[in-house]
Amino acid sequence: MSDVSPARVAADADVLAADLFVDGDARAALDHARSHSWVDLVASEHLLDDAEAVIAALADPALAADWRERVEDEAVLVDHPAGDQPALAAAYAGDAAHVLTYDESMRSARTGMELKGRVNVSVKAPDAFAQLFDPAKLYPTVVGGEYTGPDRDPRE
Amino acid sequence: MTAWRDLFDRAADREAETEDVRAALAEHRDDE
Repeated sequence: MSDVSPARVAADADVLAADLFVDGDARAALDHARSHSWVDLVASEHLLDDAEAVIAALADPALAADWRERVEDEAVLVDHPAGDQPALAAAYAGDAAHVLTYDESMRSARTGMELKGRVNVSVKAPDAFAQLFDPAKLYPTVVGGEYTGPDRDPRE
Repeated sequence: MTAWRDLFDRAADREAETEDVRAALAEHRDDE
């Protein structure tokens, strides 16, 4: 198993789409990545396919396409087998320490993958990640030096 | 590249809630 990065996070498609539609905990969670160039969102084509389908269903294909173009430009894209749970598999392939989901049943999926020794991730609800992720604490070890605050506008 | 604020503004017009998103994803994955 490779070392996971505490500054890498994968979000399941429900969190990715909720981030777009709702000014709530998913957006607060992913703002950590948007606000910091050294915090990476990890995603896969399968994961983005799911989120894009949800966005197209709830809005329209044009918004879904624009959203995907933006996410693909920023995320660390990884590949994994089609049958795997996309968020967990993306986290594994991308060495992410965190998986965000609204699906409580993913805890059991996580257990199954852990038993195979494949994944060492923390599966969290978005509100928990939004509150617990501490960039000031991580910065000295991930980047080095003193944390001076966000280095990106999360709305740009 | 579309700014996040513009994507959020366009999506807000749909007034979708988190539960709507979860239901849509469940339906999508059931169909696959």
